[in-house]
Amino acid sequence: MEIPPIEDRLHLDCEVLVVGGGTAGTMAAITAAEHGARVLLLEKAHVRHSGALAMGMDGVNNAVIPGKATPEDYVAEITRANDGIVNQKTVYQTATRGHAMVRRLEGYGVKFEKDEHGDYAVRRVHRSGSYVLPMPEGKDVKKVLYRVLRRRDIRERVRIENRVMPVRVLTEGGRAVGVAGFDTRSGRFVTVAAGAVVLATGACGRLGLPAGGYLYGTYENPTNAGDGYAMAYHAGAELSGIECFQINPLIKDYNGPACAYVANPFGGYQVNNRGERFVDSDYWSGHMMAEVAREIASARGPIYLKLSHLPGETVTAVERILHSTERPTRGTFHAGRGHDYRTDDVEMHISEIGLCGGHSASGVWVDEHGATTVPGLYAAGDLACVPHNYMIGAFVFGDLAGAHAAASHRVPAGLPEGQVAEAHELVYRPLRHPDGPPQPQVEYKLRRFVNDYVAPPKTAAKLEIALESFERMRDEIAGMGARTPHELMRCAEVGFIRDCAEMAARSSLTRTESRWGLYHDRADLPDRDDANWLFHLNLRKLPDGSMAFVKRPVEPYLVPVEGFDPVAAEPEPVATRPGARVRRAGETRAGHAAVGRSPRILELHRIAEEAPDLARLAPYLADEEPKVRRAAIAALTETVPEGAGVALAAALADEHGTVRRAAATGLRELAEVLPATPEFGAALAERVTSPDASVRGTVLDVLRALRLGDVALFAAALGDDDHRVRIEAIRGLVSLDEPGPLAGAARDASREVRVWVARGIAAVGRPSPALDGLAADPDPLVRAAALESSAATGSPLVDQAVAGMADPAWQVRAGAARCLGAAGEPLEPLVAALGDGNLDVRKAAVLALAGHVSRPEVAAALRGALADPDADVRAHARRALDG
Amino acid sequence: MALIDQRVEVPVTIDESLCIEGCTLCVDICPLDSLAISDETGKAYMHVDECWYCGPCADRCPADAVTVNIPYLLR
Repeated sequence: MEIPPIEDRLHLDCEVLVVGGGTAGTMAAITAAEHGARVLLLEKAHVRHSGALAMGMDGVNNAVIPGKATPEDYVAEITRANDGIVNQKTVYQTATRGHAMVRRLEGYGVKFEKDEHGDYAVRRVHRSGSYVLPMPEGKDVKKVLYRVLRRRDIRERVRIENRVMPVRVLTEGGRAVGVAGFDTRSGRFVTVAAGAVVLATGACGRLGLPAGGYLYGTYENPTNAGDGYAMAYHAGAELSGIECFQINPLIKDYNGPACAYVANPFGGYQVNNRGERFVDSDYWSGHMMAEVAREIASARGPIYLKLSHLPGETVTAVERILHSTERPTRGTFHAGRGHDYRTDDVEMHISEIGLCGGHSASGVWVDEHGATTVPGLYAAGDLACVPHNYMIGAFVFGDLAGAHAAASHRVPAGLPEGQVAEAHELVYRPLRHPDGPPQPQVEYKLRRFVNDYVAPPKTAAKLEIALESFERMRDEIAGMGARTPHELMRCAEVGFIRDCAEMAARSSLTRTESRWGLYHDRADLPDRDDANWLFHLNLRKLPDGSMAFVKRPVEPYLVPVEGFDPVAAEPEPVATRPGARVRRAGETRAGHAAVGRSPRILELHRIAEEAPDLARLAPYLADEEPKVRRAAIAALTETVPEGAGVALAAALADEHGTVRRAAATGLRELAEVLPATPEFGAALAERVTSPDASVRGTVLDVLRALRLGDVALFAAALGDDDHRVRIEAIRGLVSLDEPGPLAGAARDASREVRVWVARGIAAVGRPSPALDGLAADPDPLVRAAALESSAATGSPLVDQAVAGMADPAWQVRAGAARCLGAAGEPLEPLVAALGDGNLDVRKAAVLALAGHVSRPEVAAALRGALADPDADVRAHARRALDG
Repeated sequence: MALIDQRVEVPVTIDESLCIEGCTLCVDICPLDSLAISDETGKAYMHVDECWYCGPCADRCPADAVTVNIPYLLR
């Protein structure tokens, strides 16, 4: 392509500009629009599948739900996890606004896991704090957000431009006034004048090179190349904690999260090659990552995610979540190697380094409204330095930034044309020398240097070599060649990566201590130095182009945390080594006429963009081609016109299995947003006799969620041929607090059903004679569930539990321990169980004894458990004795 | 600089016999913009080896024509 003249550009203006249509960005755009602003949303990919949630998410890591956790506990937890260096005011926003955000998302149609009584099923995943809220159907998060963006009231105020990538934020008199960038498909130059700019461009995921050697096989979505870090920096904003890298444990080679968050509540855990749990840290942190890295490198390495000790149906439940939500190709990866969670433990490793506020603390410095140090410029989501903010924090700060920007925008008179010209040159430079080194080679080399000299363990000498390498590469990057708009995009991203690499190296060199475990492990300065470094380390670009550092004091805590005492001080510039200064800065594809075999599907795609009502979709729902009917159901669940519920219920009777499945999936997905009308309930109930078991299961599930089912309907379904339908029937009865009919199911042929009966009785919380029978069941998993459940009914089966402590199956011994812990008597079998050969039995015994630590023989036994080979047993013993 | 022909195994493959001519759904949504419509066949194909094996292209294809494989280096 040719370099387009600077005058021949697409110029747009708006009151609030949002850059990035992922988690934080969509929320910022929606909130700004709701506050009356005229919004432009730029997305380098397509909003429907972009950002960290390109496909979906399996749960919320950090929801503070009243009754399950308190904001104060959460703020203290994050303060400890981040070794004291947090602006608690920002974390407190996430803590106090998370619950309302969960409710708001639910109103949009995002499904969070709830128990049969409709309460959020918050899980305790770490040893401290209960903040994990699963989203077993979280693959639809982006779909739901996109649906909201296209709602008429929002669409009228939010213009979306997909495939447009800004490269610089423009400033006038120190205020952000817009951006310059280009259309990554047509190559057209784009400028935007904006009253306020919200950067929500995600992490810098393409900083380190993954061990697999594939440039795009990164932990983070590789489209997130650090765009916002570079843009905020060049606009003069402060960035903070850049030396506190993101490093995560993951499935080796696949490089996706191993999702202990998902597996843990099901009984999965990480082990070393001896089968021992080894993580002593109580919460997600760089210290945890240091333990992981040490274990991998030790004689006990490598490490594994262990699920092979769990029953088949439990593994299937884990797979259903892991292989459909956040990274759905995980199943393909394991299958390709012939591995199965039932028989093979999954080798884990640690990721390449990245920058990410959401997972660690490296980000753009923001206040409690998401405002940066540049007026008119905001940052939200993974880009912003709000430690361990994760998905809920991204939504909360997107909302805060959108609201603040909408209230304080100032549309500029014009744009600084000098900066526009510089941005134009930056974008199109590679076209001047198309024979220059290509992006894949340049990027590979740059990121290989990042691995060699910036990734921990860090030393000053290695970091100096890094800076020298990045300086040398400045010219190579300026000389890169490109021939197409797509290549221009990748070339611009290499520039962002280089900026991030330099910031990472200089910050790591400047903070002369070790902190945050592996994240900032300075092998040459191994100690934490609170006297000099219990401070934020912020950086910014000076007008002369050099990088300046300042130590900012940690604001007085809202929630005191033992062991950390920040002192009041003035911000203090930090001198960097002389010579460390930067020396100098440096066709649309032809469309095809629709002549193919399925013009109906193409018509549907077009109609779906226009918020169609049900009547417009009806002919497609009745099309003779099942493929078209399936596509119509997809359009129906994307747009949710009035009457969608009844239409989907009708489609459950389709003669074609794939259409029925699509309708069932759509119904489960939309259960929170479809109005629970009697008409809809009747339409669903009609399908309860469907010959298709997945239809019957869906009907019961949705009727329960909408509270439209009755006892007779659920009780009848206990006699279904399919055990999955019978399980849905049990859940329905429990939701109505009606355990009576469950007694019959206690003799069900399926052990899975019998386990659900036991759990259902526990959820209802009243004694039931059925448990006696279940406690004598031939299947150990059923016996275990019965013993554990009896504790929740106020009538624990003590005699059976005492006998159960000698059961050959470890699951029964663990269940019996939980029963005895709740009963409080006798405790001797629990003390004896501290010597059990199974680590989960010992863990259950320690947890059961923790409530009785005032008794001297219990305290003595727990002191013995401090030397247990299993990290969980040790930690829970320690916590019991301390608390 | 040399322009060389080098064979590369790309992760996303499209069954041309199933792909609907005129449909651009996978091309529209790929986060890395790695898919394009071939001028010769009018069907989708992977035009650059840039893939997060994330899956929306396969998940949303109305004709089940798209397969996402794990990139060869990681398989």
